[in-house]
Amino acid sequence: MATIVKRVVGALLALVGLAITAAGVWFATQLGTSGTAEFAMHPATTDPVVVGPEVLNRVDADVVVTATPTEGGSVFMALANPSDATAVVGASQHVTVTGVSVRDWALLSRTTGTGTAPDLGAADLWRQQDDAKGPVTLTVQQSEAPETLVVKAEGGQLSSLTMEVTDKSWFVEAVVGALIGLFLLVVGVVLLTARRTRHHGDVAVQPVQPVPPVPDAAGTIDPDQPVGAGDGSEPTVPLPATVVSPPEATAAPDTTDSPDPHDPEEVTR
Amino acid sequence: MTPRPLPTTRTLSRLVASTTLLGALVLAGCGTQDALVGLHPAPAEQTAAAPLDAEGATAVAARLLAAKDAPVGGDAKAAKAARAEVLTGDALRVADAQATRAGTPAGTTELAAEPQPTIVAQSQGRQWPRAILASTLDEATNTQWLHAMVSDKPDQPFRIASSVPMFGGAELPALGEQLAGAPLLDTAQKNGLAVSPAAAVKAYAAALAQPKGKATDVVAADDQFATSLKTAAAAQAKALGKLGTLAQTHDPQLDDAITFKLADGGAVTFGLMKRTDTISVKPTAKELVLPAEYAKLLGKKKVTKSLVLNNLEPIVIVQPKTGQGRVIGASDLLVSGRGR
Repeated sequence: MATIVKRVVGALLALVGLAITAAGVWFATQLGTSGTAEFAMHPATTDPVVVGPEVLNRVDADVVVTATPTEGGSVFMALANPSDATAVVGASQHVTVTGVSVRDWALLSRTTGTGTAPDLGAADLWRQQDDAKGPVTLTVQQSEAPETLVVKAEGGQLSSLTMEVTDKSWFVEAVVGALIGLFLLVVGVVLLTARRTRHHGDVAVQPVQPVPPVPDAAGTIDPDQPVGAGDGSEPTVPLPATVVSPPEATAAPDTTDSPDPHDPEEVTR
Repeated sequence: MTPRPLPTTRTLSRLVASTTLLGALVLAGCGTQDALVGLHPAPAEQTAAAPLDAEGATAVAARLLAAKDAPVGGDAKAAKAARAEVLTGDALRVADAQATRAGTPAGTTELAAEPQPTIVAQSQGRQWPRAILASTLDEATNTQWLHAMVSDKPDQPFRIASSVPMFGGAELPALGEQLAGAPLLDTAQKNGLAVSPAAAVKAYAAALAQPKGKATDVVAADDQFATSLKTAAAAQAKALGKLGTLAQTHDPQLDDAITFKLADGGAVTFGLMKRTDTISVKPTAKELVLPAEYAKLLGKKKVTKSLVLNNLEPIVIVQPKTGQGRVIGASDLLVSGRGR
């Protein structure tokens, strides 16, 4: 029973350790030593793209957003109070960034609304804004949270939008994770292999019991042998003709019903 | 040699405990993942505050004040459109009237530095319309100006809705902490005051009427503006003598009025009055010869029956929570007239 549990636990530990190690190594290589996570999307749209606080303001580090228009186009990018951004975009058609996907480092989005967006640049509600031909980069500082970022391409489409977050501790955590996974993997393997080693080592050599002298014929008494000639402690009943030694223990798994061959009690019973 | 018994029970317990702990960690990983990478919920937005920070509001005010005085090219239509980009409400009405009267686009070509605005208050909350109350000091005349700027809709920029010079020694009570914002009030409602701001302006207008105003205890009518109007009217009446009579009325025009709540529960209102001076020529007079200013405005030098002159009067009136209100700033501008 214990051997089976050990084997299962060892296998589980090894698998979990392997998975954690792989994940840790993958994250470490993806994030780099700087711990920079970069998420991107390619909306190819002229509609405003809205990135809310549920994406921008969930970390303590600054978030750097870069918008790139198609060739020849320009980009307007601005930060506002979330309610202000919602009000100015209104019900017009726009793309909302809803989250990120770590698997492919992508920004997740959905398109909602109908109609053309108003002239966003005319509004006097932006906390920070920039517009230029070519790529525009804006840094979201968490001290100003919550904020919503609105991006709109002009004279072309929005080719790409990237969001970059740098947290050095992420790389450290990835490495630590990989090491923990490695440890679990080793422990699991040791548990698996240690079972066999320990099993063979546990096969104890049974002490050989002193074999009483075999009488010539079972059930007969030598008339010359005085009964109780010694100190009177000798048995007065006939001894068995033979002493049968138990069969040698094999490496077969234990069962609940079979006697444990390693148990001295079982042997001498 | 006695064989060592296997620690079956103890080992089993340890293994089960370890497996359980590991499983718990793996399963809980889904919940602790956010904490591990430092993710937390985004902070909630504080909506009961000024919509812009001090820097943003100052930038808006500075931009508008600079644009207001910027020279405008093109014809009268282009100039009117340019004014509408910067001004709205009473300020636009006054500026358009001024441009019509002058016949040239408003603006200055002087290279003097624009006075830097000081943000006195912003409207409170995230709703529209929004307003900024700013002040500037005209160092040439040592006059403090109050400017109310308004954004009516989310996609519309702020525009100057009223600019009024303060009287010397006049005081605008505090509107509260700037970033907290000051609530905008409905001018027609009492808002916990003795009378509504609209009623206060109306009472003030009635008190200024000539030849006999209507006394009121709602608002004081002894400020510089009221005094100078009375003095000028008296001088005019005296000059006319037996040749004519002067009647002067003030009509509140509060469609675009803006009222901020003061920190002490009072209110400050930017309003507009239209003043009408009517000079009736008595039968004993053959005609009245107009001064050059009026002659240019009317396009005639004499009138035989009557002369009507229209002025626009932006005012700022402060009402305390209790007690008498007081006008702290005003100006008037002759905008049109007709004569017979």
